[in-house]
Amino acid sequence: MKALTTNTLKTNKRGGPMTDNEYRKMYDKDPRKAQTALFDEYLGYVYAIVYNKLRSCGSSEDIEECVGDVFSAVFISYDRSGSFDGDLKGLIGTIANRTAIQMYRKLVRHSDTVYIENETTELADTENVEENAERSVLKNTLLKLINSLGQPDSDIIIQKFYYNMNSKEIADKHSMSPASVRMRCSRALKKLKELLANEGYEMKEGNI
Amino acid sequence: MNDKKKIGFDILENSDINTIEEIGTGKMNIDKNARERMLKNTMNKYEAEKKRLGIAQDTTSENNENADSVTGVEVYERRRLPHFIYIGLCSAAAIALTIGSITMLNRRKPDAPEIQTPVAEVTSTAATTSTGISTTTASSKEAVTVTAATETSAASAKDTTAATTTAADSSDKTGGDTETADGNTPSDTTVSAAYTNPHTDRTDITQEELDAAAVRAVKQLINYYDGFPNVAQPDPTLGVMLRYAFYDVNGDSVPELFIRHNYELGNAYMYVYDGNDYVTARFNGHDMNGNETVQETVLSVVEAFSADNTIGMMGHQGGSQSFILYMGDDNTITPLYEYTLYRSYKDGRLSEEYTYDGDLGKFGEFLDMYRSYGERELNWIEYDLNEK
Repeated sequence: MKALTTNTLKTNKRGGPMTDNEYRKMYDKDPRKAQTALFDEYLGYVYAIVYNKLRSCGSSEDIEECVGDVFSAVFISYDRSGSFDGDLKGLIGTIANRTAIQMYRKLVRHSDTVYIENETTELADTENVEENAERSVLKNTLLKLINSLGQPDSDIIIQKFYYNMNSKEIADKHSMSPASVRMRCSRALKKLKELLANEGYEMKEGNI
Repeated sequence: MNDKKKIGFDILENSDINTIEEIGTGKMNIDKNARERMLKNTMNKYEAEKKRLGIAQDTTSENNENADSVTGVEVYERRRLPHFIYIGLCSAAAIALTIGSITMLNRRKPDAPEIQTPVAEVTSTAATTSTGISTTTASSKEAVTVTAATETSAASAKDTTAATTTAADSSDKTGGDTETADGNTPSDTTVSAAYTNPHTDRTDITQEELDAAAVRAVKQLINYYDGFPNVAQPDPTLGVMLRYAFYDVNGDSVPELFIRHNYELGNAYMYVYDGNDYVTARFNGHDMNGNETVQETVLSVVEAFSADNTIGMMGHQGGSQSFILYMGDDNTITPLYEYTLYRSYKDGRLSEEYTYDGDLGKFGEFLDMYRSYGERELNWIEYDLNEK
């Protein structure tokens, strides 16, 4: 199965992501073509945001459904206002975030579930602030150490443990055999554990 | 005492957008089919939402043959007729399906006693091949059973069924798929016939016995795969899981065995109990080239449906082949619907032939029907891969 390279936020002549203006010009000529171009450019971005929110409770069908909702909302937003108010990527990110949270609530049927970083109405108490700060430090530390593993090990670790891809899928992406992926993954994880130990952390059992 | 802080990948869950970008949106592995599925879904939602909100903007491209159509009332008039026809067709299809199902069920009932005929053929084939093919214990088991069947001319249905079971089982062990197919498929028909799988009429089967048989089947499966992380190579980092469940699909009081694992691309299986072991079930289906072949109930997805006596099988990403199967009380399996990338079949007959179903449009139609059967929740038992 051929996989698309979704790192596609570099498709215009300037080498940067598609802008509001570029979308409008394309849309005036051929709306469907513009929508498809925008879809292709931001699919990886939207999918990653939605995946991040729904990975613990949704199936791949739920994620795909939500991605459809996001792009539909983005297109409708443009149709109604005639522009994206400048920051196209920011708007898509915001819509993706909110749509994914709605889907999450629908899936877990707990309407009181709150994503702290997205709910400005939630007043953060001192405990939340401290907790968030600590989580942020942990996230940054983990990402820094994963990145220090270098390519392709850092990618393999993220793909294996964050995106839950199996060895075959990862192998296809890196033109390796599944056995090589497993071997690299095993070594990279061992190295990561050592790096974490040097920083005073221990990998949780479930991740070993 | 270990005072190190614990850290896991779960810390990355529910990250903010910046962190997600740092993790890498380019690391996603979205295949072409998934992209096309999502784009199609997006456009469907978009069109529906646009209609709901009354946004009349025309977003059709020059590639769309309806690009010159006018908006407004005329659009509604144009759509009303196809919609009406669509409802009519749906109703006709529903009626046809109902009549077809009733006819099929009516025809199935009288078929049951006639199973004795192919059984006789199978047993005689087994008797003749047993001398020439192999000298394994499996073939000697056949011989004993066949003798018993011929000695008692007034053998009950129970005895003959047991003979069939042993015969089919022996072909299973010797790997003779096509031999068994010949024994079960009328040679002069073009329609996929019911495949008679091993079956038992024993009434003294205990759950302990089935548990043990299930574990044997699981172990056999693990041994089939080189590198499957088993006792010899425990490697929890692979994250491989294997689980199994019992479910009596055909209501014969002997549960079928379902197994799933996620090794490599993952696979699912359904086995039938032959009185001693869980063995692979088979059916007469069609391959990608349209040839009738004996297929095993092994695919990326094999699941019991909510609808009685039915199971579904589906390939990866709705890939190459998918099936909706009917399982008779005596473990016979008949394909109700088959989908391949080039053809569709209904009741074993070719119903539609098309060029490569690249956009999975035909698969979508099949999937709607597949889902209408409803997945049945099973009680899965996790198999400990480190278990001796």
